[in-house]
Amino acid sequence: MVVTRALLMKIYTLVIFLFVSVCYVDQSHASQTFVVLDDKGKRLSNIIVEINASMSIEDKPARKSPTLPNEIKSPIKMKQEGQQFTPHILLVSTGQEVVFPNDDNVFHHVYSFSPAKTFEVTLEQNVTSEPIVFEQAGIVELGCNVHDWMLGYIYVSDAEISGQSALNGEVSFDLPPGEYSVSVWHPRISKEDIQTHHKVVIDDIAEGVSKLHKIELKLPLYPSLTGYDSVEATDAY
Amino acid sequence: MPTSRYISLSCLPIKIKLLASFFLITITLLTATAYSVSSAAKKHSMNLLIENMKISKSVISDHINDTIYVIDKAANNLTSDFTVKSLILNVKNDETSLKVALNNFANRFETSEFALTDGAGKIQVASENFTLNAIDDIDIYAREKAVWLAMNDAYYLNVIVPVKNTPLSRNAMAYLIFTKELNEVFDAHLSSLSNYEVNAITQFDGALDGLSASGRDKDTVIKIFESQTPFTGETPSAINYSSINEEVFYSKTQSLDSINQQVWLMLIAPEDVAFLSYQSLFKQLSILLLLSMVAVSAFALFIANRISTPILQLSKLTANIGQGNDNLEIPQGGAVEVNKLAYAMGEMNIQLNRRNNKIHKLAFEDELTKLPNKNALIRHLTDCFRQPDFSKVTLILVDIAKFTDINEAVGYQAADGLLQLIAARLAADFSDSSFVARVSGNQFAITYHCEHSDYKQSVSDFIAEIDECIHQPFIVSNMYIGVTAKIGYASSDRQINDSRRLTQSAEIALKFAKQSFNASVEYDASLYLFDARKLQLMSEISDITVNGQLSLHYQPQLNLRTNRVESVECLARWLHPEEGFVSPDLFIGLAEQTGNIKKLTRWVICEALKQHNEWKKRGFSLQMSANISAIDLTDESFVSFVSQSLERYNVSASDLMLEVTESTAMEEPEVAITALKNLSNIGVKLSIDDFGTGYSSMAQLKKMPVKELKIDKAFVLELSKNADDQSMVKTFISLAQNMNLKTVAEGVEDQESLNLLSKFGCTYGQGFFISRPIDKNGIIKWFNQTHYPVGASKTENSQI
Repeated sequence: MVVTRALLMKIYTLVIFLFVSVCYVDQSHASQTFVVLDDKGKRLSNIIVEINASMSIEDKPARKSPTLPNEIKSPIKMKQEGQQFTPHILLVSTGQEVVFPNDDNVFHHVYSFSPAKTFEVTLEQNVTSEPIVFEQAGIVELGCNVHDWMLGYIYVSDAEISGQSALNGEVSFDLPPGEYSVSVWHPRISKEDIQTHHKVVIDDIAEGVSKLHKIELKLPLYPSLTGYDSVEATDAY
Repeated sequence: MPTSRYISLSCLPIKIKLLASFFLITITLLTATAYSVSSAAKKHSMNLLIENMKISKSVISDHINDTIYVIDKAANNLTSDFTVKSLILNVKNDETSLKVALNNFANRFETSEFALTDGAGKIQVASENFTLNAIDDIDIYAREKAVWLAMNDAYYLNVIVPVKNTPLSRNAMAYLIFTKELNEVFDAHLSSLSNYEVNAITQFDGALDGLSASGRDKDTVIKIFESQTPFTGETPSAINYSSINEEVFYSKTQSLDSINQQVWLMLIAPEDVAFLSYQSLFKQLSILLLLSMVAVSAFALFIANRISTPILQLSKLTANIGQGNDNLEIPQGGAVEVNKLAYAMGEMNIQLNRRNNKIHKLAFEDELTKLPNKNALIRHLTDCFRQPDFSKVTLILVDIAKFTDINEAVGYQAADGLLQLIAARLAADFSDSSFVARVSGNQFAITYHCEHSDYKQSVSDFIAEIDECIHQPFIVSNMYIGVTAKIGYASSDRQINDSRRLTQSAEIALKFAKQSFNASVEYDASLYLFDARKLQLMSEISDITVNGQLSLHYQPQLNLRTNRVESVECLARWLHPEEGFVSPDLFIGLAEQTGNIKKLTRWVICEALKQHNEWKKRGFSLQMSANISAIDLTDESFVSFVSQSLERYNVSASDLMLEVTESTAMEEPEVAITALKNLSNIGVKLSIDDFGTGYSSMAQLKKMPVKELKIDKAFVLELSKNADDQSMVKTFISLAQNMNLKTVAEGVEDQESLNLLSKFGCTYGQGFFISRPIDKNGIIKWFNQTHYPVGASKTENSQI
């Protein structure tokens, strides 16, 4: 697990590095950094951040953020590794295909009764499933019928811009000035906080200057599930 | 003794007292024990009740929780099942399949109803009787696993399990509900889990309802629930207390519904069930108390008997001692103290007996002679009279004559010795057949029991024997002493039929014997009559000097030389209106005994002097002789009386001759000499009367200022025939002449005697031959008729 996690972190670092590099390459839009803080002001990682331009703003971004995963048309992997889903939370855009590779040497039976996507797929050892398309936006909670402890989420986002906070709790978007509605999601974030839309205004004056937008939660996080401290912990980063 | 209405404790027998004390102590101790034990037991019992209630409550709660747990577990397993989950989450497409499946599960879980809600509690599918449409806050209930909800006027236990996407899902997509009605939960099995009554209390819109799993009626259950108050003195929350129709219930209530507080579990313990252990303990304690009471009573009785039995025996012993019984049983085997007391009482009895014997001896034995005394005699006689075969007894009283003289002569020690010898001799001779006793100083008593046909003769013979026995001289201190006895005796007869009369009769006989010349006198009824008459006379004697019954008779005295009647002796005569003539010897004696003699003497002197004066007037000048008593000699005023009387009646003192008997003069010679000297000093002449009968001391006689000796008639009556008397009289006369005294011979009965007296030189003669005593009228006549010249010649008178 440790090795896996270290590897994961390296990958994340690489991705962010690339992402940051791209931001600097494209100077047409200013890079806007968001940080999600809990009720005590602590930075939270792995938080889904969705950004939609407010209806009142005329100057809508011309296109979706080039960094969004749904730009990548190839299927995204939700692996079964060490009898657990990896990643714990997978952010996808609507219409995205996801494959479920079984890297374990045990049988898995992945399913979800979530309204966003009800499906089931049985996976023999070291077999990758056929791609499954997630068309409906929403949270698809994944379980394994033979391993009760396995839990994973696929967040199907239909937001204009979405991302996941990095280990340092930040997520950056290249946004033109305007007024945006920002919402966050994580299984530990309270219902109220999830339903809250944070209004963020990006000025022209601030263009070229990387600005940190704080998204502050009002309520404390739900406790992490037993055995999920490592994957659901937000303060370990 | 005043009767008291209150029975004092101190009057009760020791047994009862002891028993009462033991009882009191035991009851006190046992009551205290019972009280402390029972209060401790009650406390313990109460604690036990509280503890048991707590346990019962836990057991019942746990059982209900178990029921919930079992259903919950089963339902959870169900919702974890992928197929079921698929069916549930696919409800909208296939409701029927799910309903059938859930119905099956509900039966399997022994629940009556079931329902399926969505994640917000809205009912999706439900069994027929599950009438709710939605359940608010179902997520909260689900967290509690179960909730009591009211439906169809009943409460149902709803076990709610969430249906989740995955087991780890935070939110439920649906909820599955299995329900059990209240009465299915509170069934007989639940009741059987507790010793107490298991009840459920529910509330519908503020109205209470009750359900008893143990069969108690609903109303009572509700009442108990409503009226229960924390039991005082105990931890308030521990247990409650209610009283319904005077029946006491202890109860404990617990809410089964932590969210809505509408359903309670209530355990009820009626008082008898609550304190079952206490009551059985109390019963045991009571039995124990009763047993110890019996034991203590028995012990107390035993102790009391140990103490009271010897005491009762002692009191019996004391009573026996009191009655003088000799055959005594000294109780033993009691306590040391009792034994000591018993021993002391035994000793006391011995001492008492000794003293009794001593007293008996003192009372019934004469100390000097060791003979029985008068008491013993009386007792003996009483016994005799009491004997059934008693025929006749004679009591003989033997009086040792002149014992006073013997006493004087030999001294009292020798006299005592004499008495002892007499006693010893009488006892030796007669005590075989007779009872011999010493009844007074010189008096002995001998009984004679006669079976002889000639009674009189046999008694006479017996008395002769006694006389003979006494007559033998006694040797006391080397002296021969001869004694004579006066004997009086009486025999029992129809009148003399008890000891008192017999002794009295014998005493009377003895008295007469002593007065007579006879050695022995047998009692005769006349003696008794005489004695009775004497008493009658005694009572009348004080009056004779005034009532005219007393008179003086006069007996002339003839001067044998001049052959003239020169003097007269006056003699008192009592003519009793009924008795007639009373002997002077008798009434003078009576007057002396009754203290009337002084009065009598004075009356006589007055009367005589008056008469003398009268005679003188008639020309008869005579010397008047009058008798005076020994008592008069002791009267100090007597001399002055005489001189006053002489003056009063104008009589010359020399014409009065006062006579005292020889025995009177010699009894107390010194007193007599003094008195006589005083009389002599006033000129009165004095004479010794009854000379020769007493024991005159010549020395004393010589000292006495007497002029005359009167020779007792005993020597004169037969003078003419008796040579002894003649020589005696002759001796007396010569004695008188030698002492220069005149002589008077009394009892001159014939001429020969008169001649002899004249020849012997006697001065005067007095007697029937000259004249018997004549009353005052008769004597005047006699003076006038007699051939003797009357009145003293002057020449004669001056002679001597």
